[in-house]
Amino acid sequence: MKLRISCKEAVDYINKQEEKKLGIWQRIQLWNHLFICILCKRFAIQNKMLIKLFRTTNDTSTPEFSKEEKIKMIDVIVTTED
Amino acid sequence: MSDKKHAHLASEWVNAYSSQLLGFAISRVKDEHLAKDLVQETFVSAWKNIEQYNGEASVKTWLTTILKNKIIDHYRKASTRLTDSLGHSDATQDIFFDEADHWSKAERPQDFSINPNNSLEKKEFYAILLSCRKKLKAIQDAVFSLKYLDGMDSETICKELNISASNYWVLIHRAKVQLRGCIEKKWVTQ
Repeated sequence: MKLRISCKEAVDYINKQEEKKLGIWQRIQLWNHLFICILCKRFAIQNKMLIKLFRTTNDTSTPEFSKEEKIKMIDVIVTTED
Repeated sequence: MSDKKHAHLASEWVNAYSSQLLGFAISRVKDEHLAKDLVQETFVSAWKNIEQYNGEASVKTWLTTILKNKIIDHYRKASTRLTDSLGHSDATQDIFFDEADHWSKAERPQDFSINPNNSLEKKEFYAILLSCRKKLKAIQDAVFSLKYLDGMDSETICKELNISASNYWVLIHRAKVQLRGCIEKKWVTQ
């Protein structure tokens, strides 16, 4: 079994690691890769940060239903009969 | 129930829940028009199945569950068109890695950071994130939303969208690399 993995494989491992889907050998491969590859290390750090922001940032510019749209919507609802 | 009472309940629902439901939908489908249609469909379904509402959950939770299912239905439609596009390698994706599967020169991750405690930075980041998400394929964005906004695991997502595990990991991989690259470019050059 090879210890060295490519950057493409490393990114794949980083994603799987998020869901704890790596075996012990794969974890060693990834750990080894991140130790020697600054680009993937950077990717891993930024990935964590982006996920966190993705989850916690709320859209401040959410569009709203206009008054007319609401009236129309109510109309559609009440005229739906099963 | 008389028709008048019906109308009263419908307007109560729309006034109380439509904007929250729209906010929920728009963060998951991005397209405003589509999001509004999904909210409308949600109310109609709820109305038709009102006798199924058992009062255990709040009306808001009940409506949100219906909306969630509508969104997943929408994603599923997008995923049926996906399998063809995954088979052969995607030219736009191959730019990120070279023949040896290392980062290609042009796409090497550059250093950037965002301070999560700075609300202005967060706002700017969100605007960039939105515009970068629009560049993702519908199915990539669907997987992203289900994974990170709804906290679903890969098995559930694969089942819901009817895709294989290997397709799933390819989707995540490409979406991540693409999104990160897009954010980096916009964040650094803004």
